Amino acid sequence: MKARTEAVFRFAAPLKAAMARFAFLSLVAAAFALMLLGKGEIVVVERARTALLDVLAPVFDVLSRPAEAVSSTITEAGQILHVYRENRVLREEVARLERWQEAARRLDGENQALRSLLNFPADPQTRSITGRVIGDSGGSFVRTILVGVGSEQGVAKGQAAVTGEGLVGRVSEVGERSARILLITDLNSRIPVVVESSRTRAVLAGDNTARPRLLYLSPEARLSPGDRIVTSGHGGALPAGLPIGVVAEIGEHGVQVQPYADWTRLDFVRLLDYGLTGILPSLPAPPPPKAVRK
Amino acid sequence: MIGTRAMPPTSLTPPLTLLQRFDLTLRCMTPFVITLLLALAPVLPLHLPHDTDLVPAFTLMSVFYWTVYRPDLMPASAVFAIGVIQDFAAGAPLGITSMILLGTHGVVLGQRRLFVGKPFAMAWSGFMLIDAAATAVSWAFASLLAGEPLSLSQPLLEFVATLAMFPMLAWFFVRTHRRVLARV
Repeated sequence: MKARTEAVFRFAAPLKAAMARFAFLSLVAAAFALMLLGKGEIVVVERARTALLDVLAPVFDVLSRPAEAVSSTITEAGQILHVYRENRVLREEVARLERWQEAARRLDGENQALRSLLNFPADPQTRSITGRVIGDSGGSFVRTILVGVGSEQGVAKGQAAVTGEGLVGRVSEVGERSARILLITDLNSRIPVVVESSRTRAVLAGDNTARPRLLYLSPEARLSPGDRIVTSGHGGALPAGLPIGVVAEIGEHGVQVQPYADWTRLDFVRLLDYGLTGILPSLPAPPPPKAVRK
Repeated sequence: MIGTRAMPPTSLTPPLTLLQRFDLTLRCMTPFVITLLLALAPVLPLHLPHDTDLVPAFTLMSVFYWTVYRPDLMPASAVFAIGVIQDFAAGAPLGITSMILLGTHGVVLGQRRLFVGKPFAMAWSGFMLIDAAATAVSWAFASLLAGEPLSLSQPLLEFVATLAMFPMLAWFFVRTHRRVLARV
């Protein structure tokens, strides 16, 4: 009996080691295959992504609430120190903005009147969906956020995500109750923009830093720091005129844009539904189920 | 090594009750569950002041530690699954993290004897080498997938942050190891 057990062990041990090695190598191969599949933007992978997003969304939603409370307490504690100075600055700001409001009202009235004279159609009505930010990008090479609204609330791929300050990104993946937003700072983000004052066209390209760059500027374009950058509406992906940021630096590494959005305080974002399908096609509808043959 | 392996039931030991089995299973899953939580943690929106998007490689530390000290509870399949889930959660290109973690697992499994029962500094310096390699490989793959060389400044900062945080997490792992897995 004992001899037999030993014999079994003598066979089993190397076999087990070989099996473990085989399993390990096949897992490495699987990881490599995943990498290629993910790069190929295959529908199955995308469906898996959104399905897992939906599974994780409630978890993040619950976990993000205490995290938010802690971070807001820290921020508030910091703000108390500056409250007097900030109050003074804000009063000055209000006085300045009141003059602007006056100007805006006057221009709006004038604009309406001139539009009606010219029979120029009004901008299409937009619907907006507000979502709580439930997840930051947790990777070194991606800049995305997760929001707790999805296709059930009418979120669709390609919609613009904005805060009160300006554009933050656009919807890149949609689950049923959650969506992922590709921020304008992400390496893969390309947004057609114009320089507001000179109407010079360019493409705003993220490079994973806090300041995306302007690409494809014509050589004779004249820019200066402080110029406002807004979406151009070209390509039909985003509506025209959404504020993005200002030109921060013009240097050897191209033109850097400082976005208006405050990345440290992204608690809620609004997703704008303009009915534009744009250049990010949604997933093709699943084929209708085949009739069961009798 | 801490603790002793569970002996296969012989005629001398009484068979485990259902509750004991359940308890044992839960305890054995601890390394996996901890690593899984560490994979999801960076995605939480903490909105820290001066947010820099700096993400120490928590899962790398966890996989390293458990592969050295309890490889039986951190099998390659678990490592693979954690990598996939982390990439999904972060919205990162799929597969890179799995590859890095599997590589770490494979290398460490072969060199365990260098670390087991040795002073902590040994494990730390071993981890430094692994971390450096992991940073380099992940940067290379991310650059390959992006089609252009990416900036190195953030990966380097993350390498330093990961290395600096290793003792803290290792302390937590050791505590868990002793409390939960002492007799498993």
